[in-house]
Amino acid sequence: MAIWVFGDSFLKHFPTHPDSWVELTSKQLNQEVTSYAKNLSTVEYTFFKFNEMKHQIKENDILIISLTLLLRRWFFIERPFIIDGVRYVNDQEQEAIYYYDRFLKYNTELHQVYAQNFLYNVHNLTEKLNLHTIIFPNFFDFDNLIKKIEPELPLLNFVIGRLGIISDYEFDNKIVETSGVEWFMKRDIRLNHLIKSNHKILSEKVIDNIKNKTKINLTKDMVQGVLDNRMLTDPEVFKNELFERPKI
Amino acid sequence: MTLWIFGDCASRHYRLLPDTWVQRTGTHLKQKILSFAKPTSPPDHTIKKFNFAQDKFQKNDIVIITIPPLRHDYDWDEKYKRKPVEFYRKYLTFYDKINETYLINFMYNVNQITVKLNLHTIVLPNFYDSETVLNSYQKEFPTIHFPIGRFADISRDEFKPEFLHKVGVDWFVKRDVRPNHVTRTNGIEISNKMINNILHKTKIDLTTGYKIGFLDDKLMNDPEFIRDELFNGFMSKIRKEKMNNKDFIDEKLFGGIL
Repeated sequence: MAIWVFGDSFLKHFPTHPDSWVELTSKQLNQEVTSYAKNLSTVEYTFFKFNEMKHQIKENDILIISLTLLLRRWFFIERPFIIDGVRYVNDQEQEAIYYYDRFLKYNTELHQVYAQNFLYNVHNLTEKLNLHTIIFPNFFDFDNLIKKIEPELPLLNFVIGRLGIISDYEFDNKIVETSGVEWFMKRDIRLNHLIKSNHKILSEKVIDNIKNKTKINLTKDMVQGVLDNRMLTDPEVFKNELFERPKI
Repeated sequence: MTLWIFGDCASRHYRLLPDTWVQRTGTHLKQKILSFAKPTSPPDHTIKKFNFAQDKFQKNDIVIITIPPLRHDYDWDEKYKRKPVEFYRKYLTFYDKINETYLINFMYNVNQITVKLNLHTIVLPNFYDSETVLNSYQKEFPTIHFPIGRFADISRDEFKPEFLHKVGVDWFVKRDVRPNHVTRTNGIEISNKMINNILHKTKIDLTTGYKIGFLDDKLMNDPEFIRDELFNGFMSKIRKEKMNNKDFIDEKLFGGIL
């Protein structure tokens, strides 16, 4: 048995951080992790990588997938992540993306259809190999889709709540009101955008789902409102709730 | 029961032309035809329209899908978007590769609804790109009927090789006046193969049984040939009408719904 992970930064595996949630889950279940979760990843990369790797997935394996932001596009094979502004692209590529966005891109409805088809694919493999499959919709982009097709895909364990929201709610409301979530997100040094306490809770919920089929509900039990701007400077906060600062 | 059609010009429904393959197949099987096939449609359109229509499928319906070339820019109007398209082709072409992934995922959707409603589903690749993808996945979808060969090859092979060599493949793509890009004779043969597959599960072979190597521009202008094989110049009239009337809506004439 093994754990397969596909998705974005919320699911990225940090094998050198024993307190990070994917690693905690791996150790608790005594399962090896193979991860294709990447920072700033696109749903397209997840779809592509799943199809590429699905023939290596074995009976009774565990599959954990996140659906990231809908509007992210994978344009360059060696850069399977969101291209934002001037980062990661040269001038010509940036101009090409500008033109694509302005004149050529298709509507979001179509990408919902792509996601639906992908979930049928995942469900098919789950049934065929008796997998335990968990789907994290990390943002709100796919809410309507999931509401519509969840009954048709009974073997997929859809998570209630969004990791994107858990991440935001870790901040103190007053601080968020004055500085805005964006301010913190740009400076985010949390692994998977979560504090240590929530890594532990999340891992417990995932394990409980795998062992006992308990629905994963992120709208309760998660720690909220504990972070403020001291997170970047206070060694005590850093020690208790943040991991060793990863290289950015 | 209903015959559902999805795809591009290869499967477009010409309601007024009884010997075109979609109309003939529907008539022979006594099925109501609902078509979402649209000329120059990219795969995105086919995938989206299928998703839109699938909630309306009934048990034992028949579904035929032709798969267009796997390119995002297939229907982009270069006249009005020259620079964006040029930049796309130069810098973003990897994005086209993702269409293969979308096609595979689409097939899982087609498969699940086929099984669920006991549909008779035929998926026809038009070109080499989709054929390669579908061939590698056929065993995953034993309930779906895949053909031998590619749809576009029938269209191309109708021409004399020396004529095709002289003018290039693009010549007939731009000037083609054959509904579904085939002559009447081959349209009837396609229809026969569809009917045999639907009634008797006979494998659809797109590589044999067709009239090939006879067509050139001289023949296409021959009045007798126009009458017998080109539906009395139906497509030529449509093209002229379109050029003279900017508000012309050809769907009214063709009878397809979009």
